[in-house]
Amino acid sequence: MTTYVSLSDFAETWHRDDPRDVPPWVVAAHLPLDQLGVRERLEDILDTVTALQRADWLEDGVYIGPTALGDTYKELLHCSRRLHIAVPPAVAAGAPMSMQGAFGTDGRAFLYLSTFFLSGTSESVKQFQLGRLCGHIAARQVTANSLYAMVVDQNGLRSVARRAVGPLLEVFMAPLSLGVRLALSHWHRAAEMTADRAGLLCSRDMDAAGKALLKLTMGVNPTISHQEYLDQLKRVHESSSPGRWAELMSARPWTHKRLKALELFADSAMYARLTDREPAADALSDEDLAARTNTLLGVG
Amino acid sequence: MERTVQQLLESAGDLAGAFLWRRVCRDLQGPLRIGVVARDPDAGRRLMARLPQRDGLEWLPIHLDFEEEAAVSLGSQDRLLGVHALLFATPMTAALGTTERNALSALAAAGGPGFRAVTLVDAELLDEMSDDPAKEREMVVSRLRELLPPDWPLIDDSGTVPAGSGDSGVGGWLDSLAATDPARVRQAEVGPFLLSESAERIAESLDAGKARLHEVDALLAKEDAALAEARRKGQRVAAHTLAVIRRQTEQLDLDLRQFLRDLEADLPAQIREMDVVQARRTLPHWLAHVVEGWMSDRLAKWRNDVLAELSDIDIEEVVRAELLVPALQPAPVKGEAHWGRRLGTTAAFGGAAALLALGLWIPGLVALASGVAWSAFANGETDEASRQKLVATARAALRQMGTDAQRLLKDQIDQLSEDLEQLADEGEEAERTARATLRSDLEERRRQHAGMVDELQRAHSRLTDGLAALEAR
Repeated sequence: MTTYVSLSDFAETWHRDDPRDVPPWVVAAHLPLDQLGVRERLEDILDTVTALQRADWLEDGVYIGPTALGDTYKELLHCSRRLHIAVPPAVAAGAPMSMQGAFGTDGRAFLYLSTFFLSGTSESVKQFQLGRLCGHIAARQVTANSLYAMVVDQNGLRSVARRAVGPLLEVFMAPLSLGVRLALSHWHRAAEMTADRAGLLCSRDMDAAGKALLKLTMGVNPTISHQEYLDQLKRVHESSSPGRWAELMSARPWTHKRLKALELFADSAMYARLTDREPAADALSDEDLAARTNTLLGVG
Repeated sequence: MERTVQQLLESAGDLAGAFLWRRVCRDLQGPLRIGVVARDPDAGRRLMARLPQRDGLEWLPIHLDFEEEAAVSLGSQDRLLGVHALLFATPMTAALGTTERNALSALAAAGGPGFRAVTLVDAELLDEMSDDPAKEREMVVSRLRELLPPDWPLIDDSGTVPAGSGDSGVGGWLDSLAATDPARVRQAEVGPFLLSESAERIAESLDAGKARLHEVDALLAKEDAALAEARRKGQRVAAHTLAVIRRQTEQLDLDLRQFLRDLEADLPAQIREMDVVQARRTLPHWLAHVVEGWMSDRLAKWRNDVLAELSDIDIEEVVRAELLVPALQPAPVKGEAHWGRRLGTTAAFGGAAALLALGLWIPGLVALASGVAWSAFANGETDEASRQKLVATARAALRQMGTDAQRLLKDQIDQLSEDLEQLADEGEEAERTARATLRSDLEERRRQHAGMVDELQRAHSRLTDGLAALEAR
């Protein structure tokens, strides 16, 4: 009889007793869904709606697995193992890159990936992007994120519903959408930065993280590094531009802010701790990291 | 004839012979040249002093090394070829000893003129030494006639050569020589002689060349044998290694199936002890960890077994018997979806929202209440269903991993088989590369020797044909 480590002993080695806890690298505050006592019912509805949307996406996509897109699945396993989450189902389709995300609920999340993003990317860039999406699961933001996307009509999560109900849906949702977008704008930006941190924890490669974010922004494999991109922005950026307020309504934080926030995280003691490395002498303390990240989270 | 011999010698590559022939022709076209040979140099000088002197006549002393069994030196032979006739002097007091008889043979063999004779010298010494010189001389002459080869006449066969005179017998002999065409006669002797000599030398070179060619062929045959041996060895190693690898891989496959069956059977027990959420989170990673760990250990054992078995049959140079741990990825596992509860709740809340939006408060509130009730009722389901679903999906994932492992191992074995089948070619190629310089050198030598043998063969044929033609004339 072959001997091997038991499942329970193996689970013990993951150091997190309760998978319902949020990890320390999470930036976003937890939405009070549990306190309101509506989580389970909300998740039942969200699961149903997103399952419908997933079925729609699957018609033109494929489940990533050991045999279909095996290379990407290998990175997905790597990321989920590193973030200590269950391997989520992942659907890949020829969708726009902006539609990629982690949907469903915290307990039944699935990933939607763009094959345009996966094509021609390195292992580390894939790890960053998959890590980002898995980061939403690890940070237990999927339910809130799906709800947000559903209400503010983001990531195409409402496309089946829109096709079914038509403009009638907008009559009820439009006012709600604006309110929620404004109310959760800060939380949503924080959630995106949280996901970026998860991506970096999976890839452990700041250059790859920069390339992935630039690809998400520009739609093609970038030929410049994130440093060159930031330097260029520094030269042309006008801090008094009114365009900065548009971030309040934006689907995601500005890329240069995300890059800076990631650089801060990469230079922090927390990142060194999480990646089992000795922190540098000038590494940012947790408090400094939180303060400087909060500054970047602000609009204006 | 002069030109014919000259061209034959030149075409045979015997430039020295051609030069010698040209000089011989020049010498024979001049005054009558008579070579004089004597064992005792003083006797030779005394004879030369007594020999008749005429216009157009040259007496040329030719030295033989009588200490070395009358060997004809190159210089002597050179001079010998350029004379029309030859006179061999033997002393009356010790006429024609063994050494002198050998000298006669040597002179004939060295291309000496056919017009030749032996004469007796120092008859006056016999007069001083003997009581009856006439009788003594008669005895010497008589003995000489018996000893002399038939082609060496004795000039004064009548025994009338007076002491101190040298012109009676010799004079007549010279007259008879002059009566022929001595230059043409002598050319007709020397030409074929030089051609024969040249043909002999070429034949010797040809034999030596053939012997060297055979030596090189033998060395090349050894090289071919070494390459064939390297190929045979490679084929043997490949055949044995493949057989061992296939046998061990069959055992590995059996063990893998058994391990996966055991693991499948153990799944319910493993999951039963766990919180469902925790189990779902860790299960695929645990499967990957356990299967990869087992596979890694088993492949190490596989390699050791293969090497041990190969070592038993004296094959120790197998370095490729190695399989990589296949990248086995378990598919995601799923818990129970509880779709009844989800759909019911969604329908109830959705309907309630629609009714409330339309202002139908009472039906809306009823729908809302029934949604809450349905949700609460359906929530009473236990985790057992999720555990069963986890076990079922984990089993499916394990079976998929088993299939993937077999496929990936088979791919590796196929690749290994292809590599090993090339082992014989590679062994031969490595041996060929290692021996390339030697073989190239041998092949170059063979080419040179073969060319030389061909050239010598042609030269020899030309000479023998030319010689036959001359003799036929």
